[in-house]
Amino acid sequence: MPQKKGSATSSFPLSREEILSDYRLAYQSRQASLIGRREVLSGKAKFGIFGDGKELANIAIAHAFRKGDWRSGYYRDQTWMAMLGVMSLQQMFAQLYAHADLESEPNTGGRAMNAHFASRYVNANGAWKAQTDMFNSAADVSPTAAQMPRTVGLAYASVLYRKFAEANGHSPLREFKRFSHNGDEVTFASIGNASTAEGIFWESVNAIGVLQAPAVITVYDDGYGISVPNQFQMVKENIYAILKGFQRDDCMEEDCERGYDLYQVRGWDYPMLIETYRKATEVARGHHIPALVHVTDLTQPQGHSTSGSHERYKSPERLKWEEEFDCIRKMRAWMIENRLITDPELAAFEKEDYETVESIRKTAWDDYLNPILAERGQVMDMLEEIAGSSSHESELNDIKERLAAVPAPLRRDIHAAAHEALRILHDENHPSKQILAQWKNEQDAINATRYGSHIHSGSALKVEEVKPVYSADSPTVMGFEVINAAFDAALAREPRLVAFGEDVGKLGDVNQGFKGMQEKYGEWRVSDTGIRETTILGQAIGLAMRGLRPICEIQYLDYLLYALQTMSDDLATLHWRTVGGQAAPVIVRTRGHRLEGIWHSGSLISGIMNLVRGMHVLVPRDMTRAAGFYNTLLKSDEPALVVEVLNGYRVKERLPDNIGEMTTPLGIPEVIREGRDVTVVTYGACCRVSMDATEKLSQVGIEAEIVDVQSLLPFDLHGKILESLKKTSRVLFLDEDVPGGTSAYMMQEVIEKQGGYYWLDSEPRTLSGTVHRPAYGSDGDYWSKPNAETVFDAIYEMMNEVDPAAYPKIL
Amino acid sequence: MAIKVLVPRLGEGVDEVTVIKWLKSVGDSVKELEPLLEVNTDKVDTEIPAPASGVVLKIEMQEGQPAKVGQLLAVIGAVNEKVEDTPMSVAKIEMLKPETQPTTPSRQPQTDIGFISPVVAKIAAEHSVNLSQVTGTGLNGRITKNDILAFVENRESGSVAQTTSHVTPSTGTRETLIKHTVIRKQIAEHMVLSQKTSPHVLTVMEADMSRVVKHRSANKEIFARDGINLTFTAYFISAIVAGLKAHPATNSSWIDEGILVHKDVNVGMATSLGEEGLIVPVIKNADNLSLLATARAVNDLANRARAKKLQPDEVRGGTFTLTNHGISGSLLAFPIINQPQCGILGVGAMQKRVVVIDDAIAIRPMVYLSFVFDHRILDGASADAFLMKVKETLENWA
Repeated sequence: MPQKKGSATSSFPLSREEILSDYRLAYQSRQASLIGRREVLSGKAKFGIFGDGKELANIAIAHAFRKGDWRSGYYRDQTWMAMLGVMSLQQMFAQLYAHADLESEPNTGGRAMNAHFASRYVNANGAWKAQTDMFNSAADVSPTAAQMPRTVGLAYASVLYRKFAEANGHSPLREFKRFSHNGDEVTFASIGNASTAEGIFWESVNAIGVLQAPAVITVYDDGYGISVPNQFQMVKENIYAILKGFQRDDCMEEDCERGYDLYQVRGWDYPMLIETYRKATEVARGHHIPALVHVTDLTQPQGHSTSGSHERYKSPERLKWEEEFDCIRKMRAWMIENRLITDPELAAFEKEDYETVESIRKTAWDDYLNPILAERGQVMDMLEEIAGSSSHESELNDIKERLAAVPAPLRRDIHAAAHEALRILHDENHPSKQILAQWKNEQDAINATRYGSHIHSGSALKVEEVKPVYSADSPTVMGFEVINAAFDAALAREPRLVAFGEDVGKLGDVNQGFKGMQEKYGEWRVSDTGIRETTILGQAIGLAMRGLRPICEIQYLDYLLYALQTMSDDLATLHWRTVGGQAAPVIVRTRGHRLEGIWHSGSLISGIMNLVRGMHVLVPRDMTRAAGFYNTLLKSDEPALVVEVLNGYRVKERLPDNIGEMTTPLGIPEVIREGRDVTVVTYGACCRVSMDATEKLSQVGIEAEIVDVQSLLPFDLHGKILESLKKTSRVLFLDEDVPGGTSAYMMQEVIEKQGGYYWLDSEPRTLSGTVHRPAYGSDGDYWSKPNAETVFDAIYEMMNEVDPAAYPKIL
Repeated sequence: MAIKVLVPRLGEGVDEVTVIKWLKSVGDSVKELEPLLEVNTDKVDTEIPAPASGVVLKIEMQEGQPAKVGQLLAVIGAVNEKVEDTPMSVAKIEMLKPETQPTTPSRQPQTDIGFISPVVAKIAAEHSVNLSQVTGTGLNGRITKNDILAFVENRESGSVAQTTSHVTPSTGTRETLIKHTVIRKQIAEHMVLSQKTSPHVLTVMEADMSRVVKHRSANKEIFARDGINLTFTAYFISAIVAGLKAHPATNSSWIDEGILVHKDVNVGMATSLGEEGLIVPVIKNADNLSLLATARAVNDLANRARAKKLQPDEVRGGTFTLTNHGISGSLLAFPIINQPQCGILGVGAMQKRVVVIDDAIAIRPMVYLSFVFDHRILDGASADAFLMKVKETLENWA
């Protein structure tokens, strides 16, 4: 598409009333930004980042945005979100104040800083709403460009929904009606100019182009990334210019080159913005052709955020230009010029709108502050009562007065005062002290929920265990055939299930888990992707948000590190940061433990696990358990990482008769060998290593009990390991992660959290891999990871300490 | 003015008592020096008298609770007098750390017993095990879980009979549990400790008591005039004293640095308290006593033991022990050494037996003398030399 520049025409699609309404929203939003900064800088909020300067582009996008469409954007979308009602200006203030209440701040319940927008598509009861009736916004994350990977999946979902409808005689499956009308939904991404220098921007733009997914990506260009101008950000200082290679042929034929429609439009040019987005969206919606709109000439009237002043890095000339080209000022002039309204009429509206916003702000502030003031009142009453009959009367009165003097107290001020009082009263047996202590305990519990609920939805733990069933006819097959049979059954019973990754489609994955599945279920259900781990994950996140059930494959665990940021920042926190309002039931499939060499060893479990709290991390020791985990996860709406054991695909297992129904429960370890002397707590490939060691230990009279943890997150929910430790009083935590990695995590879980300490008769031990990555080759591996001999030695040493007469030193 | 009843100092080395029974309740009147409660220490049951007349206003320590010396037991005062709420008014705070739920199994410094693992500490607390009595078999003698489990099992299945079976003692429903008394538990601990400490060896000789019997018959009446019941026990103690004086190594204790020979000859005499157990009052400096004085001491201690009137110091400091198991008809026994002594002499029932003297058959009153000694200190020959001296003293009594 050619670049369009111009101004309002007589055939403008919006009425005078709509235009005036747009102006007034832009003006109100601007007032909210100005007032918001004032609130922060007067100490009533901690940080503020606003949508000033981007109002008209926001409004143009919102005009093109239909119900069922998706936004995946960043913190300049305040006006857009206000216009669609995703976040009203009052809710904007509530979020600014960190009002931790879903009624007042439904986007993130006070958990995210301001300008983080999230529509609630999951009800409090866990049921998903009809997204086709909503203006949808994926919950924002702050890191630059981090909204891009999921944009791939959000947009690609429309492609799949359209294909599924076509395959169903151009009629959507019943399951899909709440998510899509024939794949007509467009995903609107927004990003700042400087963030386009991030690698994941390019990976995402490329993936969207390859998938021909209907995304309309806006790059807001105000010339800076905080203080750093474009000359340090991108070649030619112009993203539009450098994206030219992505532009498609201007034709719709099959053999035309596919790619993007590119647009460049000035951010103060209201009619042109309206026209550009109308057009870009129409093509994207109708033909699934993605677009990128470069909005130039934008300003940032208050600088980047409340943490700085742009006067410090912008030249007087630039500041003057920004004032002159302020989009609201330009629209105002355009309206008067086109005789839509007069200056005095506008001035009257502006005065009214300013007062409206101030009044909204005050309502939001009172809503936020009143419950806190009530809590302060309670504590002050209690302090007064105690002081009256305490030997610490003057100190308590002092605390009370200091608390009363805080102008806009935070809950922490109240709790610090209560805590100080209790400290002072520690040596006094005062009956009212208990009431204060009880109040504090109750409030602490409320606040723990207020800020800590909804890490998981809990649905995975509700899935009932179905044990594998074997009959005389159950065949013994290779491990990969077990997992293959499980995926076959899952694809057959669950039409929402799609699987993709590198080599997953045509090849059926590098270990044949999806062998024959693309042929059987079609290339839209089981598909190949480019080599792009972050956007493989992003693809899955977006699809899962839109109601599909993706299994995305990261070929080797070591390559998950590419996607770790997205997994950690976006996927793992999603349910929590929206207080249960959003969910993305992504299953990340990978294979790890026991390959060879520095970047294929698959051992980096703690590095990954500790960054994805909020996801389940499952480490099945064989393919039957893996299959059971997939079946469990597909019945829940929670995201999970499943690490299959790399050397398990060619090990024989019996194929359960109920491979499609059996489930492996989360958080339940399995004792895979009983013994009396030492408990070995391990997982994954180390299960086999420790089993080998136990045979050698048996020969010298030591019987080790092996517990396969299976599920690292959640970990042993019912204290099964403690039961073993009560018997043996000795424990070895074994894995091939780094020292102090997952072995230390397991030790903390068992020794500290489960109270295993009180059952220990010997020092608890860990045995892990080395600090260095595993060297290549079998010998390199042998001296980098635990093996049967080192496991033997670790356990034998423990027994030597217990009974040196029976187990004299060997080495 | 309320008067505080504190745990008195019950003799050297006693820093804790256990409240056994309150003889008065809150609200009862009590006279000065009237028995107020019963307590016991590791060997002694005793009464604590009221320090003043008045009404019992408050009882601070319940039955079964341990209490440290100086700790508040009760408050006595005038009727309706108010009691201060803080019970810790007299004794220092650090003396009052609650001992009801000991988290450490032993009050002895753990440096002596090495590292105690959490599970060993837990088991010791649950089973009231003094860890200094448990032998460690782990590296550097560490007490392992297995060691303490074995200790507890042995203790609970009887102090002497060391069973290796793992059978649960319970057989079914027709059983009654007799809860351990404090004294029962202490006896059990001492017995197990002794068997673990000393290698016990038994040697037996037979003594002809003719001359003792004759002497006793001749002097019984005379002694009775002084109010003394001349028992055979007095003769045995005198004979033991003669043996100890002739063979001082028998009057000793094994310590790590060497054999500690005691200058004092303090002979304990095991005294049965019937079903409640037994106690061993000590005749101090028995080597300085005539037969009359010995008999008087024997009478006095036995009577007061049965009446539970012994002072704590009267059961301490023994250097040798006599047990007269013959009283209940036993001929031969294998008594257990009263630690840290070197030996214990058991005396069987006196019976007239046919003996051969100078190739002639005679009928004589005979007793078996069963001497159990610590083989770390004595060897067979030296032990027999001591025992021979005892035998000869009895047989040649003049």
